[in-house]
Amino acid sequence: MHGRIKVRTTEEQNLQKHKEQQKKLTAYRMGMKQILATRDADSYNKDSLALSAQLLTINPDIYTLWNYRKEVVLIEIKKSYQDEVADDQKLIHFFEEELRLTEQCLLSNPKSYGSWHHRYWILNHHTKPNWQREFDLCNKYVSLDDRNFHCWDFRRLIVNKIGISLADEIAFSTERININFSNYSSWHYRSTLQILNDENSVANDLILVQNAVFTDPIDTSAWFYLRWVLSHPGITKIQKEDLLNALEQLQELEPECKWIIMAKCWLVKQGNLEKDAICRLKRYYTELIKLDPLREGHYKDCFKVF
Amino acid sequence: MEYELPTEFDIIIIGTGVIESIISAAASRIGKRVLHIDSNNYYGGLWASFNLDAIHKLSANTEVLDPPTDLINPDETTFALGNDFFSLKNFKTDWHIPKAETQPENENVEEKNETESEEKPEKPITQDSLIKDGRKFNIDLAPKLQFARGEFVELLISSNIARYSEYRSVSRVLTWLNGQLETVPCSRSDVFANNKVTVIEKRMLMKLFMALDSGDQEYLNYDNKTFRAFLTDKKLTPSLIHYVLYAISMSTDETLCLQGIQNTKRFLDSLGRFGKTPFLFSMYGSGEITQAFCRLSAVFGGIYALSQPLSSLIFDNENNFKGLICGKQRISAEFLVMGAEKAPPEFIKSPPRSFIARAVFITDRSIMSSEKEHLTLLLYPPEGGKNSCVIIELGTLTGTCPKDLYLVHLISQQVASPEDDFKHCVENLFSKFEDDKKPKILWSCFFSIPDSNALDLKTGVPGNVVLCPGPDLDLDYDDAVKKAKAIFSDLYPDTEFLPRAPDPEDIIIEGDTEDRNDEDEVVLKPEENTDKVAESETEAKSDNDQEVPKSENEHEE
Repeated sequence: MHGRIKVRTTEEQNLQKHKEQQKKLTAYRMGMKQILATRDADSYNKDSLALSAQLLTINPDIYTLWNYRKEVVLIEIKKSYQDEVADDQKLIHFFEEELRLTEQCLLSNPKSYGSWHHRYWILNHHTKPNWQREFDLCNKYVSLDDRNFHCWDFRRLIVNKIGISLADEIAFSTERININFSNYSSWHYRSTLQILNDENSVANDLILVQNAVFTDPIDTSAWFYLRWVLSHPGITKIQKEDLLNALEQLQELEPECKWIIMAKCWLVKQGNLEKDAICRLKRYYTELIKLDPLREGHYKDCFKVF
Repeated sequence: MEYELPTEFDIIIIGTGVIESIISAAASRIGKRVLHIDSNNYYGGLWASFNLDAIHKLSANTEVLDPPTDLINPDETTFALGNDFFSLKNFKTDWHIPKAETQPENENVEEKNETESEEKPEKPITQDSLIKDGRKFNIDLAPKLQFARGEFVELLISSNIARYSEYRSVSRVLTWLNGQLETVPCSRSDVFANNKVTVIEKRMLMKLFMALDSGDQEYLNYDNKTFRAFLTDKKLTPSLIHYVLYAISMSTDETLCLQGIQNTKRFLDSLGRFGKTPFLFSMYGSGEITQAFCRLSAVFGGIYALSQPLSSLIFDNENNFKGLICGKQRISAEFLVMGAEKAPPEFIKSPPRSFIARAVFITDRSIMSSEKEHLTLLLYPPEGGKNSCVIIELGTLTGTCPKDLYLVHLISQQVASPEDDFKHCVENLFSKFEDDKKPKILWSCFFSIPDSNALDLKTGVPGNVVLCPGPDLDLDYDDAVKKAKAIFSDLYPDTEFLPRAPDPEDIIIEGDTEDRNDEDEVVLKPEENTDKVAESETEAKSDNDQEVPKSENEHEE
């Protein structure tokens, strides 16, 4: 009968998928062959370039093709210097094309080493790079996945390159923590910003990280940051006592959480060790061994120092 | 323009309220011939939304038309359509701003040159200026919010109706606590960032959330006790009890423990799917929702006609519905479904005894000012003998009001009258005069909707006729969906309710020749994944708000 609608069976679906995969494989092999055949030191083949873009969009991890494109870019740059006409529009257009390609690739795979590196490489060679746009891109990708270390690294590279105001970065960091504090990357970034340079910021960060550990004591990233903050010489005695009291309260609510006790150890260990501090530490480490028997050796070692 | 409708259908649906429209879509979807008509010239019935002009013209009801007698057989009886039980009561609107600008033009210009302040002197808002923008308003009679993981959203997604409407996330949930507006901490990041809650309270709140999430069974001991008692025994502080009891679980002091826990879970389960709060709001107003279902019904063949001169229903001597008289036509069907407000008064055995108190305000600023525009849900706890109030504040990004203005809806179970029931909210949140902090009410509207939901709408109604209740007090459409499903399965047992259409990728159309090779095979282009509720609208407007799995609050939260 004419024009009936039929729905594929699963088997038919699988067969269809296999056929498509084979097609892709053939296309890939042919493409690579062609591109590599046309490599040359002084000039490049435009068709090959276009083909490499297609292949990279499908699979951004083909390092060879990224490097091939880098070669092409270098050729273009050389050509541009040789052309006495001081018009670098064409060159800029070329750079923008490269950037657009990397963006497309990042859309499909935001964690490809090749794409990020190519982007940074292009920006370094770019005659008029738009760093603000790079920031926005970073923000977007961090929003999509705040554990994407490629993106964090990229941000650090840009920040170092152009030097951005500390206040802005601190604001950014605070915002990221507010959104999701369960994130080693965000806390680590914060610690690299050298923000603990006066009493005020120490107090603020102490409050911030306290909020985090209380809201979720199981989340280890916040505890690590707390430890780092506590290692700052500017922490006052009063702050330590307040924190200790709060931790005692928290322990009542969460007796199973070893991190609270460990935090108490950090607090007590610092500064002058009064006589009863050693008794306390002994008590804490005993509790820790009970809660976390797999690390018994470690706790015993910690205590040996005293 | 005279036109004739077909005269025979499988099912006739009178009234375009939400429940009727869901049934229409479901019936049409399984291939029934549906006639969906309304005497109004708009969709939505008691759930409709109106612009500023139309809402002033809402009239209470309709003339009863006399049926042409030649369409009725001798052994048949007729009943005139339409009753007064369910129409809006106590409807009144008021302006609180001058009609037109009183100052002449050149005076304004002089003032502008003299002032040295940074702000330009604002032109006073007048009735005329609002009326000029009247079409930008979409004022709902029955505004609702949708739980991100509620039955309604799941239905939208499973039936593909999601692509007929757009949504925005509610960006904050507030409550009234100790004489102030406070943000309700709902998600973990809210709890973290909230500086009105002590660190210990934060821990307690998180513990409670996680215990409820993990299905902790200790509440079983609280069978006949209240949710409040349960929370008190959990050693929550009074502020936390307020947040959880009145805001998150939207309960009262009397709510029983199990119900309170279910309500809390309902709230928490919907967090993080589309935004920081569990709620969505339909862009351009909740009136769009009925239209989305009607659209699906029409796509599958349902016939639609508004502004119809419906006069009466015809019954045979065994009290079965036989036909509908519409203008000069007699239209027959096996089943008749109608909104309760369309039914003949003889079918209403128990008139409504409870009412939904409603108020709508146009204001000049938000109740809680902020850098960016919010879509706010304010859960106002019960106070002084009055019931809790749900307050929804909408800004221009929802498509319901012009720029720099806000539309505020108040909903409560009526105790005395709408004005009385909302008096305390009005005093605490708004001002009628120029007040720097509180928003000023520029226009107000009060009315009551008779609540048809707890009524017996079956007794005394013929077997092939079904009455649909109107708007209810639930925040979401869950109850409405349940009722529509129940009615549908009564009418058409053993049929699927709004099944999903197959994915186009898996559809092949067989042509004349069976032995084509692959290259010639016709395959329909795959559609984009319609799994997400169509707030790709909101995704595109993204600002610097972050996303958790899917799309979170975009642009203005």
